[in-house]
Amino acid sequence: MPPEQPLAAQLAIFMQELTDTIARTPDKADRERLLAQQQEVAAKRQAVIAQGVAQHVAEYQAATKAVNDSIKALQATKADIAKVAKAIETVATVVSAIAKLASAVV
Amino acid sequence: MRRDGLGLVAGLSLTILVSGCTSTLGLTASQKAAIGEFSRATAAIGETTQGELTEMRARMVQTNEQLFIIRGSASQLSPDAPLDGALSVNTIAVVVAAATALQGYGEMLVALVEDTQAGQLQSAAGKFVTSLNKVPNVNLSAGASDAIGAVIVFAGERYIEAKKAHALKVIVPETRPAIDRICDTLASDFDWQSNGLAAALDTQNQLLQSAASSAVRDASGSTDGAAVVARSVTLPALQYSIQSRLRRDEVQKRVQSSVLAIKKANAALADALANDRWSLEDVKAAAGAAGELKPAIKELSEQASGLLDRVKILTPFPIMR
Repeated sequence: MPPEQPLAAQLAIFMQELTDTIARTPDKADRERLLAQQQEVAAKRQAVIAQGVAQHVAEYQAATKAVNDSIKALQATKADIAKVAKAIETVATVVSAIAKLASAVV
Repeated sequence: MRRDGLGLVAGLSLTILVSGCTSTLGLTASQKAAIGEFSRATAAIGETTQGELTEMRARMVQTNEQLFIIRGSASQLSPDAPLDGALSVNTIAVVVAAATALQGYGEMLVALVEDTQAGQLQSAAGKFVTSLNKVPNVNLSAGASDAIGAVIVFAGERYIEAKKAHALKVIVPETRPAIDRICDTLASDFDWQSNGLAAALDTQNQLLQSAASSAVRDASGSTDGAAVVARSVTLPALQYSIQSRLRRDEVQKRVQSSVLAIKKANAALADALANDRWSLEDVKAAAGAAGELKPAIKELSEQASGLLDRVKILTPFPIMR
């Protein structure tokens, strides 16, 4: 996805890739971890994509980069599900970045 | 065949520049026919959009209900709280009003170019204004209000062809900002990658699909009673979430494209009427494409359940990609 895509669009793609990765993941513990992470992102999604969130702030840019990186990591699990551990790490980075952005815009 | 109409309206402006002009006393038969088709398509899309909004709210409630059944408190939902989330009755009512205004606008234009009863013209104009007033941050210009007010008054008169043509030439350009805004609002609300209603619904649906697919996998390896019970709950939930995803990609995306096509065609029509230069052959094409939205959605709705019946649900992943 081009980096200039707004965070709302990137998050939508991210959520879909995460859903598909969960469906592919055989290990129950990994799936539970991803489910919890997806829930965390969903809970803060509306706050960080609301109109008026300044795109130039550092937290927005960090969140956008984290989401973009994680999308790539999630897509990589299509070819090799063993890469899910790495994907989980990137999703954790997204959760953290989104939480920071949500705090910054409140 | 492309049904979103966007491609078909692309050449509209050029065509308008190329040909004919309208009489100040009335409209030619071909001009009436072209505007009539555009207007009917606009009205049909407005009506279809209202129905889809109702469907989206119902899906949000059912999605959250099933998510709570599968995940319990981990879903961050509560049985004591409303399950409609961002698609509350009040929120939906505003967007339905926007869609109703679009429908009324289309019906009003149809009434202005065709031989309609006075009551129909008054009713359509009234529907447009009443609905528009319910949409925040969308206002009619003084010129538009005056022109529509005059329509409601003269609708009962005889021999009003020239007045209808004059009203059309004032109303379409003057209401363009309001129609633009309505179309933008609707397009955003039907874009699952934006921050409107479709996006809110899709987020919850992603959570449901994730939870259901994981739960189905957990319950798929056993024949004991608990596993059977688990599958009986999670399998329909997974089917439902996949159906919602199909509906997002087919119906909601088509509504979004059609609304944007209407906006573009209306802008071209407004420009042509304001400058007395127009020929609307391409409006006919655009209107025809946009008009296919309604039967297309009906067809999809009828086929959706049949499609899911054929889904190999234990290997649902191919249809996700």
